[in-house]
Amino acid sequence: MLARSRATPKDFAEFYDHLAPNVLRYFARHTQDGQAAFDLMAETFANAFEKRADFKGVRDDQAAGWLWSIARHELAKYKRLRSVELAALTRLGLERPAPSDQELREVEQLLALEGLVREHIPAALDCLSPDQKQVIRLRFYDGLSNDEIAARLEVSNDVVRSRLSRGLGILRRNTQLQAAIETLADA
Amino acid sequence: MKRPTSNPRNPWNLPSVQSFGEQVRRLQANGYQRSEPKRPSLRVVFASGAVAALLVATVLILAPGRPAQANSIVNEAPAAAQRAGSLRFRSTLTMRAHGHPRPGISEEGAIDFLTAEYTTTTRFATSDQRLERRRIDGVLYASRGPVGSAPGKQTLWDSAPVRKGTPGGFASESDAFTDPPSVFRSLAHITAPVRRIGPANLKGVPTTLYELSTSLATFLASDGGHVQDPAMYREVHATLKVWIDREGRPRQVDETFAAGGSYLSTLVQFGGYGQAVLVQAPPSSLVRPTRGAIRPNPLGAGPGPLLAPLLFFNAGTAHAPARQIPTPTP
Repeated sequence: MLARSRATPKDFAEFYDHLAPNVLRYFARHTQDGQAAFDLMAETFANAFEKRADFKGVRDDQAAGWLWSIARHELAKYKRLRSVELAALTRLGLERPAPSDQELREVEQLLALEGLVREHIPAALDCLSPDQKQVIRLRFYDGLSNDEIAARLEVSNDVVRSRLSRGLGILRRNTQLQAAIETLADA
Repeated sequence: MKRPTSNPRNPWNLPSVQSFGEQVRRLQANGYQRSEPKRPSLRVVFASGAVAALLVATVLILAPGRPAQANSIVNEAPAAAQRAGSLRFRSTLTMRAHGHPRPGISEEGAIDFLTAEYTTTTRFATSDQRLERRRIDGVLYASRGPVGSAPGKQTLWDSAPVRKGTPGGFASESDAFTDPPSVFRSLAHITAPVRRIGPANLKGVPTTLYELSTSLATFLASDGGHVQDPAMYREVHATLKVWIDREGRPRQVDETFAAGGSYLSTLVQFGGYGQAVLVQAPPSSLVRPTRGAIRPNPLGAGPGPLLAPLLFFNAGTAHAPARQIPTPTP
């Protein structure tokens, strides 16, 4: 998508749609600050948009890796400066995201749900087979999509879905995890 | 309202994410192009380089051994390495379990970050086994067997296509303990304070040595959040030494984890930055295509689930013999 976007404008938007929610999640997890997470997400994509001609790859996975390297760089800069430098956003004349109070509360709730899962899941995971445990880890800890997990494990998408479904079925019997998992399973 | 994303049910696809996406759409529809930066003259480059070198030298002379102002240089070293386009590496993993030395593991190879092609060989001292992998043109080839080939016996390879969208360059090995992607992930995200030790010459390459001291729990948390028991892993001390060259790239990384009479240490040496990486597919007569998965590297589970429990929390006693580290089946 990113490679094509140099020639066809709509492809960068598709690239954004595909990755932006997970980039926001990444920044929210690492900053624990909703507004900073939105700002960092916007600055990351503004940088990517500006520099897209520098991307020399051709495949979507290479483009995603390239974007994540920009995101990691932005996060390191944020940790160093303790603030978000909106330089690319300013250069492009883009408006800073203005999340509503409700959205910021939603970010906090999503982080809390993930925290709940992280807190209780180690014990609950002992009930799962190694394969199920691995898929759960990749899906909910590493944030990979089913397609990405299938590619990483070199199995079919159906196998991933099956392991995920059975694993979640077992975990749902854990009452403390139930609410959190049902929300995250929809992600 | 239908959300314009490939994953519309993602709860993180919040309204402000979508509204910023609309701005991006408008921007690109207007045909924005980045203006090319003016190339500085050679004289300016030399002058600014000299000023920068003077500043760096002044800081180094005035503040030896002080904690670094920020940990950014270690966090950013992996990105600097990847910008070089390619590298060669050699890793050695040594272990001592409950006072007893364990057979080590070594891995060496080369990666081309731009094409995602790589070649790597892992050797297991415990059984004289080796595992060789090559990724080229979207196909992963793997062969395993004893170190050194028997006369007249040629190595057979399994092959499997690497599916589109595979993240990272190492396919299913991306979690392995001794390979650069895993080490880079840790360096990029580790949050422990960085201490600048001072200049160090590594086989003729001028570098600066940095050191981080933390726990296994923090180390694993920085490595993508494996399923762990943080309370238990906080008891395992982790020390990272990172040698960084003048271009900001890691030249050597030494990771050591220790608790009680056990330790696990990985030394990874990097070189050949920017050099061409030649990855050749095995002769087709020796390749057996597989429909299913090629088994991942036995270290693919990473240090937490596999090695750390064996070494540091084995059977609840300090005297129980450590279990064997799994080795590949020929």
